[in-house]
Amino acid sequence: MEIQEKINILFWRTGFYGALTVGGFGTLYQSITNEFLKRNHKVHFASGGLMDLHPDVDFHLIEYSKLLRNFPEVLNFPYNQKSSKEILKLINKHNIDLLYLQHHDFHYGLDLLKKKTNIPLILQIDSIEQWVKQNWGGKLYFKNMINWCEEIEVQSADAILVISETVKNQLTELYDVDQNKIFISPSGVDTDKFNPSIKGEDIRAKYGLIGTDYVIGYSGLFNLYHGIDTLVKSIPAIVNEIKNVKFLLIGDGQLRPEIDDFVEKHHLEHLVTITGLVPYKDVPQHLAACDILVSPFNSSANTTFFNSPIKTFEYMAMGKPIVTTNIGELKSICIDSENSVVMDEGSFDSLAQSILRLKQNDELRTKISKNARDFVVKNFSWSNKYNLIMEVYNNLKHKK
Amino acid sequence: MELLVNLIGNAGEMIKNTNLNNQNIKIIKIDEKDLAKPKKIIKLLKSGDYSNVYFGTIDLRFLRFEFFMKLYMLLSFHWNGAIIDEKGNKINFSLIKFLLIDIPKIIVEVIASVWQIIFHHLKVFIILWKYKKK
Repeated sequence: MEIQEKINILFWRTGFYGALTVGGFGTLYQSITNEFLKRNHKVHFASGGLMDLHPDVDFHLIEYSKLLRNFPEVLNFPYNQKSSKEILKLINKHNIDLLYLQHHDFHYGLDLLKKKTNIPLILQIDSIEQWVKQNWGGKLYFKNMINWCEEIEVQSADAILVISETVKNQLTELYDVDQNKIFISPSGVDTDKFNPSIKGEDIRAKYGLIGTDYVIGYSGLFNLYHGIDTLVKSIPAIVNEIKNVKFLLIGDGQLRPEIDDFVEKHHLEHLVTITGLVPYKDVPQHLAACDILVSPFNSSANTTFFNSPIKTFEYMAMGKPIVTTNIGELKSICIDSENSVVMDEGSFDSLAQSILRLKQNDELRTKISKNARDFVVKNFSWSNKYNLIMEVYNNLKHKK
Repeated sequence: MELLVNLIGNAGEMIKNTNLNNQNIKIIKIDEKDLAKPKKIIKLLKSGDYSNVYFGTIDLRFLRFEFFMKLYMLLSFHWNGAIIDEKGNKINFSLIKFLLIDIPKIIVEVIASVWQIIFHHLKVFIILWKYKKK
């Protein structure tokens, strides 16, 4: 039996997320650091903002400038120098074996580290930053700069982990990058934390949901591509079909004002509960409180949906019946009538009909719930990601 | 009636921990990016004849766009307004402090920002040029 070497790994999260600790990035880091801790590696974490991590993680806050906080993007520029120097100190002080950085806009700190250290540098890229700025709200400032920084990071990294084939293709089109150093590493789910035996009665009671209520649930940030607006705008059509239906929307985000307005204008307050952000540890109980879970993702800006959504994997791991779109990367994950019911992207009627179809068919609900759980346990547990990181690390270590 | 403009975070915690009157406060959620729309924000602050307004966030340590929030309070004549967080921390608006501290500070920030933009554009351009030359 091969004995796995114990390493000192340093995760580096740049980007100004402020005090926000939940969302996809929070889940990713909690989960992947736990995978390393479980196997007795020493885990260090440096971040520009707070993180909700296991107490055994050695956490270091590297704060952004207090002065440059009133104009967009500028605060990222000096942070490169400051954070890279701090990271270098941590690498030397703790004898770090591997650095794992999630790419963020206007970050080019890997260049300095490449010159000053010989440890393997792994870069994770979830999206092309220029595209995100242009299509997911806000304005794109310093277009050249955002691309230049991204290219420097790509060139400096020893290996790049991308979350999907689509991101790999986008990266390859934009930059002259060695294909051999790109690895596809989708998101995952902790299948012990999210499992079908979790009870949701307490959550139902907390939000006044009674036993006969048929609860449609959504969990995640209220951002553009998640399709939360599609779900909310479908509520009048769903209510027409199912009389005792209620909606539990778990999360918050950019589209919240729009969602609140719609609910108020259509007098849906008695049917819709919006929990706001909930601690990640409480998410499984919230999902357990629902009868059907919905993830109506949309491919905004006519681009192939490139994400590897943790939300979908968490739904599947809970063994709940799911209504979802199967755009882009989801095509190979969500199969209609096998592990989910697939709706048409952006269609209110299709979403309502899919929910009705599930509610009326006990056999279908049971079948897709079981298949979904089996599918993620086999293919999308976080240990798959851990194994890939260690494999890449071992290869890089031998090369260096 | 008072107004809490919630940028991000749990409004209930903000109200409880800053001892605001839960029965007398309207909560409106906006996105941080909306702070770049002065007309929209000032219209919102003036809309309901509110006796006072608050901007709410998770943690003041990580606050951005503080100057603009204060500027909107000034322009909507809510000079007793404040920025609050979930832990009960508060930055009260003060006209004197705004004129004597915040305005000079924003001038320094503008100058420093211009310098940062020029310096880092040049630096990044040179680093990338070196990579491409290799």
